[in-house]
Amino acid sequence: MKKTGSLALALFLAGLMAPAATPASGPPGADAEFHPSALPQGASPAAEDAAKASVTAEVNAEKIGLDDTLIYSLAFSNIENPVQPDLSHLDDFRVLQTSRSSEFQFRDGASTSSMRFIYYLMPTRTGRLALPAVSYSHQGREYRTQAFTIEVVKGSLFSPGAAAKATPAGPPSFFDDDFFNSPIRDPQPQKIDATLRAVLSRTSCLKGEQLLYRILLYTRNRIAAVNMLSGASFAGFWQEWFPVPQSISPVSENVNGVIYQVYEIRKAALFAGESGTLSIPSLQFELELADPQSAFFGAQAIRRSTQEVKVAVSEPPAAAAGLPVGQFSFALECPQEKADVNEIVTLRMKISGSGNAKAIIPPLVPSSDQALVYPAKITQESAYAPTALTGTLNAEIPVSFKQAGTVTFPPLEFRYFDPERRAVISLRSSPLQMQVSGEKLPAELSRTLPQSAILQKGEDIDFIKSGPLHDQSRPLHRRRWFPLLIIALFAANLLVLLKVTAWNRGIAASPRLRNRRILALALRRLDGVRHPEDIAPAMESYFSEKSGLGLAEVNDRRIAEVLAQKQVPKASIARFLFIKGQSELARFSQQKKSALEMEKDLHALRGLFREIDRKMK
Amino acid sequence: MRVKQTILFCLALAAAASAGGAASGVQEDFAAANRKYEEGKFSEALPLYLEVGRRVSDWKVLYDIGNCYYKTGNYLSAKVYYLKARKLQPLEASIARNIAMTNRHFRDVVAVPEPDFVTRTVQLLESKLSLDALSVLLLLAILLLNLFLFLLLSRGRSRKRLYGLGFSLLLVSVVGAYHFSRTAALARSNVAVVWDADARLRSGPDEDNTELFKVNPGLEVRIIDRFRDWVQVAASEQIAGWIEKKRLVLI
Repeated sequence: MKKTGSLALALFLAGLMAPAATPASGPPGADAEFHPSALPQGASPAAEDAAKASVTAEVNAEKIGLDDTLIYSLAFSNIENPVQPDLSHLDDFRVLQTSRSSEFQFRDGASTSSMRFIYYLMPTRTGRLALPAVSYSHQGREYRTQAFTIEVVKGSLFSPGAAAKATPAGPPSFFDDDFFNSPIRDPQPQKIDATLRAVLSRTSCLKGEQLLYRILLYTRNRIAAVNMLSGASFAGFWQEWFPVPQSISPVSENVNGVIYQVYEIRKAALFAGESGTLSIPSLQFELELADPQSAFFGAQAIRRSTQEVKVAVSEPPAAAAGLPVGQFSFALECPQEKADVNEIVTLRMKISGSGNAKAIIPPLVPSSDQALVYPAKITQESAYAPTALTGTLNAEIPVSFKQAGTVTFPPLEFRYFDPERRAVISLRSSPLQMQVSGEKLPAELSRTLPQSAILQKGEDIDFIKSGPLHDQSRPLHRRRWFPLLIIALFAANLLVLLKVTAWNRGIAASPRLRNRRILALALRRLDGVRHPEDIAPAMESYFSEKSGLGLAEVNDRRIAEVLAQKQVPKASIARFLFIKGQSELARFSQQKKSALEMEKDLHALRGLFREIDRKMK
Repeated sequence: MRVKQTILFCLALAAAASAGGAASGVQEDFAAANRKYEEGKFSEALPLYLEVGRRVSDWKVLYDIGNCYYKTGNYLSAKVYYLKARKLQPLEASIARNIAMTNRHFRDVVAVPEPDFVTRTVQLLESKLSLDALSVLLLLAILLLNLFLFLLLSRGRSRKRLYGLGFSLLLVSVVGAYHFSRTAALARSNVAVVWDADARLRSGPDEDNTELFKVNPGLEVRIIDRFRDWVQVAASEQIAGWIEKKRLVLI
């Protein structure tokens, strides 16, 4: 269901003003459903205690289809200006639209007033859905309506075939025109007499020319509200719908001897966008008739459609191609005649007329060496005159002046096609002259910028960046040395690992290399000796490593035994022990050996070490 | 003492490597382009910036190229260069602002959702920690790992050395993983801009597939998947589909 407007018709005079029933055919242009007849007399609403306030709820059906709309009415009787309850919180129903109607009556000397809010609810799922009670507080008193359970089934129950099939003996549908003939509700048959008619101001027009499309309701019933169910968009047209007024005054029209009340329920200005025979389709409306039998002045809904209307659209002359069609006026003004260099002055352009103002492209004010023209701020307004849509386009054009002197803006031309005169009309603005001085205006005289100029000046991109550049395409990790360095670090540790595992524990620990290592180490230690007393520890370390004895076990006797066992010559053993003893005594002796003497001892020791090494392999 | 010397040597090496800026000639050309821009000669500044951009890849150059394109009315190219600059400098406020200004000139505007706390924190970290700084950090972590490895091998096991080795191993893993993800993200192009005026998103990677949306030039899209000459892109959670690669500019 498309967006529809609600219409409250406060005065229910149509039915009362109708004369006796006279069979007649419908008004011109009426569709086949038009059956005018007189309203039965004597039908009046059930009286209710005027002083008693109440809030009641009604639904149009207790079983509907998922594709159907449930009409839920809340009637407030004798409650002044009730606030419309919000039903948007319902989970199982979606509120498609709401409407309201009010009524005021005198009966038996007492007045009654009622306000009815009508909700069009669409179920969101099938099943038995709860429509909860509505609570309303008024003057400290709580009013509560009845809760409903609505059974929702798949599909639609209100299509003609489905309705007959689904509810053969059920209550008549509110969409059924013969509702008042139902024996359940009213044994006295009542005739519904309402029809819609679409009227177009002209049946032929030029492309872009304005047409007035009106939808008239002819009725002798009392109408509570009107809702448009069809889409409000027509192919081939640009349309502007007039706003729906709160109340519409009817006019009386005699159709074949029967007086009808005629309401102009909708109106739109149409502008054909293409040539040829264009069709305005039938539009469907829901009319809510005030039900005189209802105790709460309830409304009953019927549906009516307008007839399809065709219009012949022809192309305007070639000279008018692309031009606005209608009658327009054009003006360009400047609020001041003097300005300062760099001051912003706002030129004002106004184009108004009966055509489609929203399609007008205003002529451009060109920049020059003397003046800089900023983008214009354009606003459009529409006025809904009874016979046509009129529009006004206002353009505020900020201009600043670059240099002093007399600046002249040449006249601007605005062209349009007048369909009545069938001619292209050219309107020219008056040339504008500005005296621009080089002096700065006092602050109090300087003008503020229009919004468009503020936007132009204030909102800009951030400025460029400067400073040293770094080539971000070659990051560190992409440089060759980076992975090489990482590999080198791990490779160094791999070498250490190899040395520890393979060399130290495997190769260097072999007996042959071990002997060589011990000898080499001992010789290196001797090379490092600087004092005679350092010789003895080096000798003990060598003997300890070579023999496998601990340092604590090494003494002269043990040395002599081991070396003798290894068949080291006695002279060599004695020499070895002599040098060791000399070194040990040197710690406590005042007389030190000379460097030459120490070197002789070291030399002899090297020979002894090699000799012992050979014997102890 | 030897350990300290090694660390200092590596730091100095990394600093020297990262400090290697662009050649002085490029810097002078960049300054000349800046002067042209400041004089309002955007059309003359643009080729200079483009030449600098060919020789050195720096977000400032890309940003300034975007500015030149913007000022000369080529908003589509401006957006492409702003997005390229954003890829190198993700959280630069000026880039974000200029992209927003550029978006005003395009028909398709898709609201970009605010990043969550974690994403924002990661982005902030990325903006503060450049990729080169992250590389230096990774190098130091690897050096530390090797140092403890060396001590363990040469001096034997001890609790301190084992803890040090475990900590440095964890550091290398974390920094290495983050470094890898950053470099991978930088290498792949997962953002693109619609370039073609007649671009349409389809339900599959073929012309015969159903047309889902018409997208207009300037729309920034995220690349989800690729198939031959087609890429699957998403502009938002609702707008996604396949489009030919030639209709996009990959950032």
